[in-house]
Amino acid sequence: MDLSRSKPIGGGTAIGPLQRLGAVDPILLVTSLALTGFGILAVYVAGSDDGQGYAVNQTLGFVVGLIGAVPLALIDYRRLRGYLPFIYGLTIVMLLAVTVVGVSAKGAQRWIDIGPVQVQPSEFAKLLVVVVLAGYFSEHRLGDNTTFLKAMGILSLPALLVFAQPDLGTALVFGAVFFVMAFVGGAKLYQIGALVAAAVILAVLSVQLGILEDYQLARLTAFMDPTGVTDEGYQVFQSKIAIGSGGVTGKGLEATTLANLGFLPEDHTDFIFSNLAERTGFVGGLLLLGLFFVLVWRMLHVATVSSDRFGVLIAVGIATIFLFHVFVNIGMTMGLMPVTGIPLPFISYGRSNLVVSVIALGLLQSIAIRSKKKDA
Amino acid sequence: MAGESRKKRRPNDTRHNPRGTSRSGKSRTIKGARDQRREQRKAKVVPLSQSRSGRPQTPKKRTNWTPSHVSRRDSGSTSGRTSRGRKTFRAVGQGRLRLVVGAVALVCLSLGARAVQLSVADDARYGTFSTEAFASERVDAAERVTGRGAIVSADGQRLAASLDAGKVVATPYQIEDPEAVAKSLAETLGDEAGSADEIEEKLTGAGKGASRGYSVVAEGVEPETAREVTELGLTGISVAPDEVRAYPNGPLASQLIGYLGTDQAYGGVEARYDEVLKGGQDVELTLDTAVQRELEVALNETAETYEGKSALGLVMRVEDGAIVALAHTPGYDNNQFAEAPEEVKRDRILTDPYEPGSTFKAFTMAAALEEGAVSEQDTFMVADSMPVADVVIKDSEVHAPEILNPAGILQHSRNVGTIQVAQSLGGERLVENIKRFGFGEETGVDLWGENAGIVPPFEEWSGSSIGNIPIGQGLTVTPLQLASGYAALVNGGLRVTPHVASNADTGEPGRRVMSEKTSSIVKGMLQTVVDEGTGHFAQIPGYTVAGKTGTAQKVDPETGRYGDEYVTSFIGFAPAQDPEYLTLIVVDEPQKAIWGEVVAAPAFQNVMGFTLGYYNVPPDRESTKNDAPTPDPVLAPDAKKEDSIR
Repeated sequence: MDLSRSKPIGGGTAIGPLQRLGAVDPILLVTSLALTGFGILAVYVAGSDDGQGYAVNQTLGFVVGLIGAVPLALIDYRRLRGYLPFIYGLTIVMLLAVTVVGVSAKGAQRWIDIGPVQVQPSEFAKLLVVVVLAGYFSEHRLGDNTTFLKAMGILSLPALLVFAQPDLGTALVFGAVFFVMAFVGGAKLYQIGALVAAAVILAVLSVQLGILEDYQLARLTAFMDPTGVTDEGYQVFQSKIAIGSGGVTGKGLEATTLANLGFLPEDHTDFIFSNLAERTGFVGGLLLLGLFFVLVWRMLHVATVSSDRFGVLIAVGIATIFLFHVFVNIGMTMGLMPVTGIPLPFISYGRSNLVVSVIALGLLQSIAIRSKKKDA
Repeated sequence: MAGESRKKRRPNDTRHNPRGTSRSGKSRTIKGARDQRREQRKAKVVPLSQSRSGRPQTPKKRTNWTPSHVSRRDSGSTSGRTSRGRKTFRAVGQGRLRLVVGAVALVCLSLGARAVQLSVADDARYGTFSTEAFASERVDAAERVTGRGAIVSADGQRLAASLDAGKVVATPYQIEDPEAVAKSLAETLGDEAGSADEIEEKLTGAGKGASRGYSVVAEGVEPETAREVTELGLTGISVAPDEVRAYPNGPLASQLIGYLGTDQAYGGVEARYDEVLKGGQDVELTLDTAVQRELEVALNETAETYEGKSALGLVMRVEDGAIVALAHTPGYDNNQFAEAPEEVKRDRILTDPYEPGSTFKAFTMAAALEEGAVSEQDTFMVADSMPVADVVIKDSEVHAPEILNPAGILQHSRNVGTIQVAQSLGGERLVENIKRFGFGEETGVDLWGENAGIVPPFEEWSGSSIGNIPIGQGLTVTPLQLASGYAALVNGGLRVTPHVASNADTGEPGRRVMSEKTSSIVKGMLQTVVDEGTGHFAQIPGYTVAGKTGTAQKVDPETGRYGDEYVTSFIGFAPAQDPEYLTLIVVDEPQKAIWGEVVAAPAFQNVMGFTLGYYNVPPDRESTKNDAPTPDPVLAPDAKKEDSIR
């Protein structure tokens, strides 16, 4: 016991970096590495002739993520609390930069050019907002209505900027993050209720007043159109055919599939799960789902053992991001959820998302390293 | 102890208490309180960490998630001041965290259940089979092929046909000596069925896709060989009737025909008319193999000469949209489907939209004429550049301001002039007219995988949209849409539904999209493009020819901006005033030259000239007047450096 007290956790003098790395959550580490590997293989296979380039890019994204994640895991995450206004400012500046100097593709302005690469700030914004909200929630009494409203204000600015890009899917991630973090953070149930009610009213109004673009509305409702008559329904229809035709064991990694014949849209980004499920079948799909379950479960485990509220809330927020992405993306490919075009973490081709995912895992490991079980 | 006291408190107080205030929540943390709290925490460290370590914990104890040890760095304002307050907050947070974990499990379960439903339960609906029903489904699949109809071209060639064959099937559990049986089968079947070892694997039910009750040893076995196998009289080996799908014309029109795999049809007519073909009926196409061959040769030569990444084209009857030829190069052979690279298998002419560039100007002109915004006699003062909102639109070449009428604008493919015409029409009416021609919606062609392209609705236009949409940028169309639009433009103004089957369901007869008068004026203008303007390499001796060139910058998928690559096209028709056929040639990323008149027009001239002769279209012009010119293949090497579009 004396020994345990003599170790200043996060103080950094008594424990070397190596010992600290030894204290990571092994299950979380292995699962995230497995998912990264799965993802690189997936884009390699899904990209058919372009696959090699995709795989190389994805590996680079992983390395860049590691460069951010390893130091982050070593540094005490609690230090971040001193920089919350700066982090928040950075988030807003990045998102504003998109609207000013952003690059458009497919009708949305979501990227900025930084040298030879393009960065999608909204991906980074998700993680940064979680940290900011966790900091705010851990220092303020959520039960207060003023605090609750202020927190909503903090969230709304980046969320609206993302929504305006337009990127409805990512904006919804912000909503989900706030909902779960406020819930776990101890908001009163009537506050949560009011939040849900406001969301419903907002949704109805946006349909009524035409705030949503036609295509956004069409995509949101298309999953209820199983025949694939509309464009959007067609995507989901093809996706379901791809998954269904994969059967139990799939058509094989090298097989000629609906995906590489061009019937499956966005087959290495948004609909990569369908592509994988067609090739590896139910078995492969379930393996992937299992990995994601372990990942999110382990993130929440980090939340339960975290030594302070800041850590708990960061872990919960990150877990929410991942869960929302997995559920909405995979749900979309199977016709359970609307088509919102948010990526499948680790698996969809896209470097910004992978870099952020790896960094988020680094942050979680920082929390795990300093969790209370290590204190014993 | 913590658990009990929490339990008691929970009904009364569900909020957490991060500030450590009293339950009324009114007071604020003060410095003294913080110090006091720190002391308390220090005092608690030992017992709490003790309880948490060493032995398995009950869930209740683990729920104790406030810091047992908080770093000194920690500001300390995160947890309750009193142990009462802290416990309350723990109770709420922890209970809710558990709910979240439950929700995660639920979400994953629902996804898993859906996956089961799609891949196993609904499996048959999606065309393959689960292992349980393997044997019986496999037989169904065989029956499905039996008697499949042929795909026949307009000139009576069989493009896809099923041939009689046999299938050697084993029932592994009946076979007593797999090694001996495998040896005699290997001798009879020859190399194609694999070695004796491979066959033996199938006979033991261990091979891929085999079971103990049913295992396919060889498919598509020639009838003669199949009979020999039967004569061997091996126990557990039987021969079932089978059919082999053959594509007698090899690579000809491969993407359009599509491919029949073991369990499903991929793309083209095979997929679109799967039900009809399965029913044993033949599908007769409007496609003619002679024109098709001519088109494929011309596309191959063009792609080779100009080092294009690919080329595609079609020949269409303008009256009803019947497709006479439709090709993509590079192609592949359906008989060697598995070996072909994937990207060549798609019917890109209908699946891949692109920005059409100048070929689209004819629609802008037609719309302005139809709406009376301009007349044939109007003149415009056309400079070589003009500002539109925040961009400057340039013509493809520097020129002094010139006075042009609408025909002159098309003839020289002036961007600035076209935009001036569009401005007098207005964006809203332009979009209406564009949509009337069928852009932004599927054409309804009877092939698989069509894309609708994107025509931005007027409400979504930016200030510079009037500077790019009229000249075919900032909107996307499939080559098939472009051809169908031109068909309506030049057949007197009636919409057509493009189709490949001669008895295709093309819906209602063509809706009128513009007056015959406008159609006639536009045809005249497009004729001057070929006779006097940018399209002179498209001239065909003996015929009046009309058409339009196009060169559009491609959006670089890496950057999302216009890059250094171009799509070059030519679309034209003949005879100019009373056209019967139109031909579209599109060359993707030509390297040696980029202008439509240089790259695509000669191929057009080739194919169109052949088509007119093949269908005995009477010449309508003295053939001595125009000796068809041919361009220098490597003309204007610097042309690619130009930023502007023609």
